[in-house]
Amino acid sequence: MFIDPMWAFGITLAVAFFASAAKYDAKVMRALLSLTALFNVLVFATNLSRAYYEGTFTVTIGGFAPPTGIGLQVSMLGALIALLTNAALLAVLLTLGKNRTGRFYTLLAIYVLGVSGMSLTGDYFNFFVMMELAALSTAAVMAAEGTRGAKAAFKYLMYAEIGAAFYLVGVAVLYAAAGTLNFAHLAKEVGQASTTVKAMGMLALFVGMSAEAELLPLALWVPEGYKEAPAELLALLPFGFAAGMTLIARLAAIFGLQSWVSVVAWATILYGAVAAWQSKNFRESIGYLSMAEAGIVLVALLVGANAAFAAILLTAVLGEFAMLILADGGVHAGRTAGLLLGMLALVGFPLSLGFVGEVGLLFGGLWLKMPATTVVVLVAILVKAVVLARWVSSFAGAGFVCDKRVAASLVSSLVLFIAGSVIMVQGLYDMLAVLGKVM
Amino acid sequence: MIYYVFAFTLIGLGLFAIMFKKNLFKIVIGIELMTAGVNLLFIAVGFVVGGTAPIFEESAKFSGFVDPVPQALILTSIVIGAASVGLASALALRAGSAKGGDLDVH
Amino acid sequence: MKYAVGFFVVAVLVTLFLLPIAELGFGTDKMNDLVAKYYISNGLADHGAANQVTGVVVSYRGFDTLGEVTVLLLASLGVGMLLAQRYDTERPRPGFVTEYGARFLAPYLLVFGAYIFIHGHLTPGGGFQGGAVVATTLALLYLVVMGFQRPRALYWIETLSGWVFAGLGIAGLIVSGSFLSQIMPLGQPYRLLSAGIIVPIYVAIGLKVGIELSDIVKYFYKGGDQA
Repeated sequence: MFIDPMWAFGITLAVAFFASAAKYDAKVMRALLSLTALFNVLVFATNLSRAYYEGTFTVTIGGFAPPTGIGLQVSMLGALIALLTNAALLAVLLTLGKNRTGRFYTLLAIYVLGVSGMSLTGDYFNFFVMMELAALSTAAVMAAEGTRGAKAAFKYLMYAEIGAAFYLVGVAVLYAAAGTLNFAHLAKEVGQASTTVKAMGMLALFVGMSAEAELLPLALWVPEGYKEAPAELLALLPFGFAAGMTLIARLAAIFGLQSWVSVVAWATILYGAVAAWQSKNFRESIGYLSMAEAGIVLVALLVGANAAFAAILLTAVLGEFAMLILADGGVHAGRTAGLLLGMLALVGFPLSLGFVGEVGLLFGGLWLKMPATTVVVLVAILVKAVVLARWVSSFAGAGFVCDKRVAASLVSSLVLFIAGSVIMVQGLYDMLAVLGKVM
Repeated sequence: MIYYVFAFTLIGLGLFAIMFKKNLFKIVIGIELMTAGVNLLFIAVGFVVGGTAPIFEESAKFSGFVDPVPQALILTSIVIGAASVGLASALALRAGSAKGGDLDVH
Repeated sequence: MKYAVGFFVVAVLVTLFLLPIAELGFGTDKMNDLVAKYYISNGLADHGAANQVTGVVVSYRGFDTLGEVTVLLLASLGVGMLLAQRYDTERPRPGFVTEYGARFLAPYLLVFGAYIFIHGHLTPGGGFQGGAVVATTLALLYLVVMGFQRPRALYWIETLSGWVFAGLGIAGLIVSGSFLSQIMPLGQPYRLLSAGIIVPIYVAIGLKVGIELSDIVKYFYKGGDQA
């Protein structure tokens, strides 16, 4: 069974438009948006299964085939990110924030809509629209609590708008060169353009994306943003990062990544790791770690280890979600357990997906191609482990309480462990089969 | 060609204002300037020498139009720019109010 | 000194981005056969609008426009949430001429705005432009006419116009399997009742944009409600 992903967008928007007639009533909007998120999870699950069986497929919008109209390009990774984002929204709506306003919930749902759109769309101007949906709603929600939040939000919006201007310059350059706005068609048409055009177009899109993808030129909003964001948004922030990374993966597929990208990766990893080590605030240090993670993901793209890229990206998103949803709250053993499992998943403990990703990255050519970068990545992983272990031990407490938030966190980490175990058992099984033939 | 130079000058001025001005509303103006520059850039990219607005008339011939796509794109970009400037002003008011009308970033 | 260095950096950056675009040339025909050229030669047959920019905005790239409407909704929600605590401050009463001038002008401005968004498929203009005129009218009333309250009907008009857009999209999904596809008869080109779904969508956008933009102005002026 397959449900067109546009159903998810149409229904979510219809519910968001209802906010005005519902007089922004918090209870009504929360109930409706939870139902919508559940519906979206189902829709994207059918898309995921179709992408699994058929490979990446195209969905036309408006009845015009993609280079002419806007089309969605549903890959497995994109469908997975859209699904996970909506599942996370559902978890957040069910477990956190009973006392927010109707406008707050609607903005949160629009953020999730933007992130899903970013990960699915096959059109680079449509990507910009979705990116702005995500960015502006992040800024609005971030300011919901007091003056410090408003400051962090303004800083975020400032970086996001510089990014938007760069992105649009990139769109103008590439449109002038290729006359198209579709990623797949662009890859075909941009071939005869000169090196300058390709390099600058790619650079502009890359810089434009770096605010969302938490990469260095424009990621300086991260510490304050993570520190001041309301708990609901904080848990959803890693998903925006994942959607931003999908654009960089597409750029890598179209233009290839030049050597300056490795400078960005190095700088982001080092800055994130050093700042996370020194940070005195749990949320802030997770923010810095997620910057370091962004750099590692970029390294995976540089090496061309696509499976490792997906594994590390999903680990970063779900692992950070597992920790950030428990960012606030009292000290008790339930919370410690959630944080501990989240930490193990995020660091890449054996049998987790992160472990598979890191091993795949190290043996997938990183050591051979870029030995110095390998050392940086390994040091970053070590720093991550130490910083997280410090935080978990400082939150250790007695008296096991398993509330809904702890459950959501544990589920999110367990998904990573189950996925990793399945892949590893599969690998072991293949190895035994090979051995059996040899014997 | 002069339009490209003007467009990039506007973008540069906006970027400069965002980077070096401390007053939040001056930063909002910088954002506005960058949006304007980008819009001008798009219009310049879509221009074709001798072309007219891509609107058909019953009696005229269908030829010699400028590119309609950049115009459609900046329509989107103008609206998004307006929305972000509105939001940024609200944020600036919220961020500044606690410090007694002082609207500086740092 | 700091300014000089910053100015230099920005200048270098700008020149760097000017290079590729200058290389591509100004005023040359950059249209692609499958995109812009296709739009101009097949526009009338595909969507029936005489204004090709409208055709691109609503028909070929309708999903962008839906996103755009959502961005405005989000700005109005965000500003309303952020400025909820602002309340009405003392203001001098506007003069007789200002107040009655605004009251006199308002209906004409509304009709002008409606004219712009109803004729979006035939002449320059469209939903966003017409909506901006409607918003100006409402903003004028909020600013000048003492005690002017937001009409209650606007809550439902805002929602219903949003539903027209999203609903036409879903209807396209049900009827022909593609979101926002052209499901209404195109009619004869160059007439007011032509171009299928473009007219209802532009009317809905005009109303929605008018209400949301004027709400943003109202929130800055009078503060939002507590919700």
